[in-house]
Amino acid sequence: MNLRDQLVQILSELSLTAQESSLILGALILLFTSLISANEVLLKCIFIFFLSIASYYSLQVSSFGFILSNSLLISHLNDKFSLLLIGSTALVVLFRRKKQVTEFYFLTLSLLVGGLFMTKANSLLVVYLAVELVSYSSYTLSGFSFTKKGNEAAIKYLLFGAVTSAILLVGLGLVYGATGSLYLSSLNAFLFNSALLQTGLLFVIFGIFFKASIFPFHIWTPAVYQSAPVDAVAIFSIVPKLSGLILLHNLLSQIRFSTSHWVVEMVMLMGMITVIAGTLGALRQTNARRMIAFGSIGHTGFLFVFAIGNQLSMDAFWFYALVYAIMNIAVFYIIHCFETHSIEQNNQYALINNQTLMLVSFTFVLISLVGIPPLSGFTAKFFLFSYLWNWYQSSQSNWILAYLLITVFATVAALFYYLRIPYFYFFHSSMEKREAKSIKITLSVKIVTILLTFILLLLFFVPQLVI
Amino acid sequence: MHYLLSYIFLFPLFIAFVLLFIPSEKWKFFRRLSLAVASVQLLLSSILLYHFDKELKPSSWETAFQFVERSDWINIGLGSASNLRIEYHLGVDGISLPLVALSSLVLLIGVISSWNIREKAKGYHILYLILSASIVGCFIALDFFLFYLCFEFMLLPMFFLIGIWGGKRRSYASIKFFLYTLFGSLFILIVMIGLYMSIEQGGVNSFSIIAMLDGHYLKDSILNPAENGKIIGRSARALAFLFLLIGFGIKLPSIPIHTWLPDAHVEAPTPISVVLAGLLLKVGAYGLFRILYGIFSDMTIKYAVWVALFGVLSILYGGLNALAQNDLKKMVAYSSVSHMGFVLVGLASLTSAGFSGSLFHMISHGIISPALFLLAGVIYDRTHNRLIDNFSGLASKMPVYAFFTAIFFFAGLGLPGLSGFVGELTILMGAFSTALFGRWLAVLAVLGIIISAAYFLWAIQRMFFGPYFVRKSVWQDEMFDLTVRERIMLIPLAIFVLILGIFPSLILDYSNETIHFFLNYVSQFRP
Repeated sequence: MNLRDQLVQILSELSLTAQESSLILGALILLFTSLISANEVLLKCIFIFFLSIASYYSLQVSSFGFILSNSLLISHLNDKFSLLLIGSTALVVLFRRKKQVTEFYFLTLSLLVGGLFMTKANSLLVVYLAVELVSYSSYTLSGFSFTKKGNEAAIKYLLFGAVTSAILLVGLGLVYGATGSLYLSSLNAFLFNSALLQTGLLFVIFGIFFKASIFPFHIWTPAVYQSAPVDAVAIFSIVPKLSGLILLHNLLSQIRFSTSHWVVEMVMLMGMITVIAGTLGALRQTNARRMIAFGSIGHTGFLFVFAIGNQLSMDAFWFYALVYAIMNIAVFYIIHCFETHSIEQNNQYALINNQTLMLVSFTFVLISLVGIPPLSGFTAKFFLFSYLWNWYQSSQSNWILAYLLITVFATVAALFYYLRIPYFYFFHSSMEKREAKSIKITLSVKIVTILLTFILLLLFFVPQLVI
Repeated sequence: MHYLLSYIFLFPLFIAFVLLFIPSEKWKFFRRLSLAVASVQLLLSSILLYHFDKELKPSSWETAFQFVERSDWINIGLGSASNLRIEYHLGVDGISLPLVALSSLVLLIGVISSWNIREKAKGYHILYLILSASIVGCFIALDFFLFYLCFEFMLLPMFFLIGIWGGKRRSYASIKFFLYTLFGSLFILIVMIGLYMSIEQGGVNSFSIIAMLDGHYLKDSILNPAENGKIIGRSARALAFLFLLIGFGIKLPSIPIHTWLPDAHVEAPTPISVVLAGLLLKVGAYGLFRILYGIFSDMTIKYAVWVALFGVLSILYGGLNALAQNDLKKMVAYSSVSHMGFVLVGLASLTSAGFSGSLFHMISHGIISPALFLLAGVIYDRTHNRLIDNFSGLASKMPVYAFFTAIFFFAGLGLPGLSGFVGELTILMGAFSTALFGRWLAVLAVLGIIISAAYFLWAIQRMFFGPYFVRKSVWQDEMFDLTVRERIMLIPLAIFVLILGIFPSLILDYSNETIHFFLNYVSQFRP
């Protein structure tokens, strides 16, 4: 194929990146509009408008395969996920935001663009660029609370991110050096017995671990979740995490390692430790946000199973990710409402007497996070357990059995820490002495939270709606 | 008629949903509605009892169930790995039917007992209705997933019912209860997934309990008895057996995983104690009957000694603990542990006497223990205290109370003519005649009866006989005899205790054919 043909083909395929292009355009328009008017509602409208255009385009995708001379891969899975990422980003507008309105939505859009490219990346260069785009946007977003603690968390995040980004870059270099190819899809042509390639691959995987907050690259999570603005945290807990896991899956599914290969065992071990670290960490927290942070680390360890699986059960992965995103958005809405009205940051358990409905949906969402019927969090966990069992039956690997047992025990522990919040609200004895107070919650947040809770209930009874 | 089980199961849920939209000030309305629901349930289960064919002789588990309802619920493909097929499948046989009837009776008593709950009445009654639906659902579900759903779904309402309306240490007790039972049910979940992967119905994997009972295993599946599958070098079926024993053992509860029960009982409000002792423990026992003994029969023969040993330990240790208690409610709670140990011994014997005895004992204990908790509630309502030492000679002041206490205490210790005797006697007959474990275990179980006589009689003697005495003078005015409401609750229970003690065939007629078939089926696994 000569150069001209290639260029023509690239031009014709550009339309397939319409999602990302419209988001970039939206981000730029947002910036320019803010020069004229800083009206919050207007900016939110622009934000939503371009997100809906992007989701329109992702619904339109009909051809799947490699595009733009193999640098991007469009598949059923990442098309579904791009819709999820766009949708959950859109829900962020309901958070109250007084300061840095333009900057926030601009950075959110660029983070989303990075995330979308991560899910589609097939070339090592795109991997690096996308990961960095996500990283830079999140470094800035994490500092937006402008408190002392917030700055500390942001700096921690930045320094930690700089190191892992260097590791990622070295890894990409090693992989390229060992194979001479930039494309993930051509990796399966190589034999993985060279130490160079294995090391390079491990480094790349570690770079992705940072985005998805998997052990040992998870330690930034609690600090950032605690002190970054709550709307930014809601995005952090969904977009970089899910796109990192998809990228990991795209990478690992190209290299058909057997379950007993040491790289796979190593990765699996990290996943198990992630579950344990998240669970043990969450047990001792008194701050709701830190607890949710550790809980989400635990959930990453669960989602991780699907990402590394050889015979990937895509639908189960998709279902878990969807439910996870819904639960997280709902949790952060509620935390946002309750937190802004409580006296001190550390004490989110102030008694609230006029929001029974919100408290009930909070309880439901937390129970769904634990994974107890009749909420779809249980269905997601059930899919996970059956998937692991299936995998164990076909591979007879004790690693998978260990993973299964760890996830089960983590579920019991999850009950203990997630239920602490309703426990304090509803029947802790110290609450009786505390003064109850009324808070105001915007109607839109209320409706959406209850709607999300209802979806969590509904998906338990009819999971076929989304699978 | 055809959807009778669905009505019994879903009606409370529907009413709970309706209650959501009624303003919370109308607390009197909630209790009336709850009462109506419970009465309708009792009516429906009497219709069920009337139309049940006792003479049906099953040839396989497929034919053993009556009033069967079956339709697809969730049926989705999950990638290439597997598909998920869950059915809405209900039915009763001779083992579950008496338990369904018992549930509707105890739930009705529970509603009457919660008549005076005013605080947050809306939430209370909604949770109570959800609880009643899931208890009944457990007994009639024939799809393992549906069974597990109901089994788990009991925990949440129970957690809040104990945690919000309970006593002083309610938050501790409720979270302990929740953690223990969730721990147990996750073991059950793992086995459930394993069974799902190993069982086929019509060529696809299935959760159908009937297919599991009839043993439609897939070739090369890990739990197939013919394959002798292994997990880390151990027999997969033995591990599954152990997991289920732990899972249901926590619910039962058996020594040494019983410690949640005394706490939960002591802190729970009276009506919830009634439901907990009367029904929730029976759900654990029913799980042993249906799942453990039905599906893992080969293992139950192999490990009969262990099951019996834990049963005997529960009988003795629970009994000795009850003897040492000063708190009336705690004493009754430990006596429950002791009595549920008999169920384990009867099951382990794998004889028709042992099985019938276990079932009968479950029903009888399901009537006696709610009554005992109601009696403990009577004294607690009046004085907010239930330490045995604080009272003496109550018989002179509250003769009717003393009369009912005597009836139920004697029923509890197994006086001939009352229902407790029949169950214990038949279980011991089974235990002495079985070849699966030594006589010494049965002899030890007999000792348990003596211990139970000791703590019940001693408690009666200390509280009701001797000179009249109460610890605090303010209680003097409160020591009035049973009110009409309390009598309404206790009289039917007393009548049942008497009738079942004289005519045990009222229950056993329903279960005979099923148990006969069950044991025939199990005998094919005997070496």
